[in-house]
Amino acid sequence: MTQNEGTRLGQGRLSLADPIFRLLLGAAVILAGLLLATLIVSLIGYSMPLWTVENPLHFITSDVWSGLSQAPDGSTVGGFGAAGMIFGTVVTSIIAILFAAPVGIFAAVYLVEFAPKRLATLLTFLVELIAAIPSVVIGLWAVGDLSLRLRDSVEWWVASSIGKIIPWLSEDPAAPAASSVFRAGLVLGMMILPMVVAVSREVIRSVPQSLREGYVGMGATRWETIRHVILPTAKVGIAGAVLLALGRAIGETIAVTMVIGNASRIPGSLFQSGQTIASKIAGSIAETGTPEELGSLAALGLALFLITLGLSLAVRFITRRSVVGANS
Amino acid sequence: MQTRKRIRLTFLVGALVLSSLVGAAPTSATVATTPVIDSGAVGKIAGSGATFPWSQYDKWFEDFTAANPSIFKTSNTGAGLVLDYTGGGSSAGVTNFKGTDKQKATQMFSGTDSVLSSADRTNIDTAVGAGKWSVVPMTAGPIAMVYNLPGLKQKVSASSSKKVKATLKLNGEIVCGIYSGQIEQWDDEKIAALNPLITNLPNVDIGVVARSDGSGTTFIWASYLMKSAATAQKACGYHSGFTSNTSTDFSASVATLTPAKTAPGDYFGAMRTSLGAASISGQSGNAGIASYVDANSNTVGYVELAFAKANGLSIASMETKSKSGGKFKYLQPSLATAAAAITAAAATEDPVNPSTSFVQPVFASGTNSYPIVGYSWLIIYLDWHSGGSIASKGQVQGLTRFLNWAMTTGQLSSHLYSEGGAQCYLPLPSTVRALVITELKKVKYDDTLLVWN
Repeated sequence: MTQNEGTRLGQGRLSLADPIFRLLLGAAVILAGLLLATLIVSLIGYSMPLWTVENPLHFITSDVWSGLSQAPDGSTVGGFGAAGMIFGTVVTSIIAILFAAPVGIFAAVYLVEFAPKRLATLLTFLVELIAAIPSVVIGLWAVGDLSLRLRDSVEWWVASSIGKIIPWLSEDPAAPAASSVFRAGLVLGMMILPMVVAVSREVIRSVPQSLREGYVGMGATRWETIRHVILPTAKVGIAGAVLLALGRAIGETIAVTMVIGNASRIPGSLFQSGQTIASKIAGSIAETGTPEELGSLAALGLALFLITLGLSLAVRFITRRSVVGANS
Repeated sequence: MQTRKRIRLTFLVGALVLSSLVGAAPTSATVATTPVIDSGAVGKIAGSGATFPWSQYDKWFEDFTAANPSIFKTSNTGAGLVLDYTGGGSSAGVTNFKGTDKQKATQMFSGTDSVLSSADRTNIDTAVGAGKWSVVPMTAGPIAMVYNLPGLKQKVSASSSKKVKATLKLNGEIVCGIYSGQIEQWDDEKIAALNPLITNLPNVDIGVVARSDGSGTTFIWASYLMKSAATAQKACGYHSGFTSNTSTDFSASVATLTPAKTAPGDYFGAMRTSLGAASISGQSGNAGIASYVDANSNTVGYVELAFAKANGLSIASMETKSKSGGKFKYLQPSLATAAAAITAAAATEDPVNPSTSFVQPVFASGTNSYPIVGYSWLIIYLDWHSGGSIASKGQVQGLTRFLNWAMTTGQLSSHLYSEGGAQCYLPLPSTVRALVITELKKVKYDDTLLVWN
């Protein structure tokens, strides 16, 4: 476009449209930002009664969630220690990602690079269908059937091999726990897997064909092309997919609460019961009688928010570094 | 001739009418009056709370609706009154009772099996008004200690080698040990000592499950532990001297006995950590515990009898407080053993509007008294005012009529929930029922008492 054409387009009846459009877009962004700010401010407001009886450091480091009760001398005892919940949230999410990320990315690579076209279309459709299944249905499946199958297969394999060496992966093989943090993580992984596959597939598909052709033209094998060209190019997008899935895993309530055992402590082994923040909030919200109890749940919500924030910042940092590294 | 025929006819008709009136007289010896329901009464009559009596309430709703089909319907709130109850735990019931939805059609009453604490009472007084609410017992039932030990066998007698399916025996000291983490495995010497005939107690960790919500069932169960373990285990920690559950032993001197409805997983959490025992798994509601124990072996839990029977769970025989011939007896929960317990408990106060020091009828004396029995209450509003989304007069009349029926006809065994041939809930003593009905007669709508006839 020449300079003249550019100025001609901007003149006349259309000259007001741009500023208005910009204003609307700006308003949308401000609205989103306001909603987020209101959420945080409300949460902090709800949690204030808690900080009169509990200090934030103790809240994060103690794993005894006993609620407040009155001692015979009239003083209040007990407290709210969220360490068990924070541990459970982080660990189940890590297990979920450790399962879903490799499997999901490789599945996406297969779908784009190797699958015959019709098979790819069918499989993609199926994966997106599974991704749309509500969590509560998966939770029902988990508590009814899947949980026991996982206990008798995967958990048992891990416990009887690595578990002999690492204490926090140990379990008495004759008496496997009825609910465990590990299993909750696996169920979460299964839930987020379709999301990882679907989004990664889109990202990998959008890698320009010319890049692939160029590499193959130089004599690279399929695997080398994938490893050196496609994955690095798609890295940021895939990280975004994983982050999206992680966000869903962290906030997942129903499926987790059905298999994790609701024990608000840091367990001695991953094969024992635990608790996550979302599951605790959902389970206890009906019973908050006092402002301190509501405050404790609001504080848990804040903790969850901070964990999500921290994880997303970390992922951004890692991917930015790798992008910079690739370019330099 | 005509006049005499007419007189005879009148006499005949009069006699028939009188005899039908006599025939229709209520056969039960209790009150024959019931609240009037204004015509055109429609809407939901719903409440929430304790899951302990849920099966019983559902049965009562069914039977009462069937007996009053013109006014009460099973669904369709446009055609009549519909009764409904949702479990959620006693804590949730109390929270809802004083919450923002109070006295609306969805929150017209709440169920609780735990005695209200003074903090609860103050909060309810503030929200609803002092003297404007009442706590009335509806039913009572035994709590079963359920377990899942497949293939448990016991010898028929000490000398025989013939084996049959075993039933586990437990007492308060052992249950306290299991839940506090002192007894970790099924073949612990204490369990074995109480069950000498059982041959194959497995050498595995006990999978302990308890309620994760604030539960009245837990309150009854904790009351039992508190009384049965009073000496050996210092009331199992359920006393006001147990200042916080970061206490790692029960050696604090026993002050006032105070059971709690806190989740045992949290209550015993710190003690279990210090003893290296695995965490207690938490489940919501009686149904949650029942299905958990059903699905997982080597687990133990506590549920109301109805849930144990409905899921076909193994039920432990509990040790009685009294001895017979120098030995304790071991009883299964049943109508007979639970009723004996309620009678023997001979509470110093009636269970109507119980004070904070009311103790559930647990660990009663008598060799036929099952030791874990409790009342279940409904908290009701006594003062209703129309306006906004508050329930209408017809709905309040309907609720009061239902509650009155539950205290009279509803107490007959045909209306008490039973499962697998075993009746799971008890009728209340007649004195208690009369007191409840006295409370029901206090219900006012727009400052006028309801009309009973």
